[in-house]
Amino acid sequence: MQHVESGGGLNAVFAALADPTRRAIIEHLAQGEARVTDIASPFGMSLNAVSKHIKVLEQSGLVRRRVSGRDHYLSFDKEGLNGADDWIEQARRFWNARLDEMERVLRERRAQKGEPKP
Amino acid sequence: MRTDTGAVPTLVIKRRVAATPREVFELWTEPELMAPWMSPYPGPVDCEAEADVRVGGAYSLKMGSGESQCEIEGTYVDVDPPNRLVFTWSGPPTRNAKTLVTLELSDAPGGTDLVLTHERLPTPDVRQGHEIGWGNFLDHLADALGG
Repeated sequence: MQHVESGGGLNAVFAALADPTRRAIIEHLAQGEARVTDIASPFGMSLNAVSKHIKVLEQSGLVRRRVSGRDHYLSFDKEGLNGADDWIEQARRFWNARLDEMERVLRERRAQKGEPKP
Repeated sequence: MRTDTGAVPTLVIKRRVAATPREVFELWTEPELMAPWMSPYPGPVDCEAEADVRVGGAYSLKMGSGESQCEIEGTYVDVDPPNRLVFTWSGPPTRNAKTLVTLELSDAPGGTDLVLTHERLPTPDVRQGHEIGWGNFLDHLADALGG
């Protein structure tokens, strides 16, 4: 199994996506770039609380930050999601190949034991 | 209780196998029967399997082919022969993230319906790791933003 590194790694992507507030933030950013303060207000959260979620999102590679003067602008980077799709596809190939081999072994065992198919 | 599992990427593979659930279950739980097919590499399968098949018991798979080596390990979460086997699955291929594999086997015409579910687990320790790792940085951020 080859695995593709993406942003802070797949752990970080999945941890980031597991939280409903962070998913809402991503949805917000999917509309376009926004300031940290713009994101905090709709959620009724303190800047500190929303910053924690944003840091998790940044570490996952899902969110990028741009600093302009006093303002911090955030944007959604959907490249960060590709790693998740890759993981599923790699796991699918792995297990399909394993199950092919498993069936081969089952057939061999049945042939050895001289059992008919069920 | 989780309400956000929809966000956890999950792989489901279904297959009808021409064998009884018990025969299939044996291939997943008896080391000498796991070894011949549990290898991610093409060509001759070279796998060392160890399995302590009980809830909380550990297993390991040392899979190799020529120069390549790959080791998977985990613990059993549910063991209900011959219908259900749930175990964690982690190693270099998952970047040591703990993932969960659920194997379900049920009687079907002509054999067994096999359903394999493999899911990522955004575990509490992963989340906690992020919280701790970013704690100091967040303090600085709050200061920088005029907190």
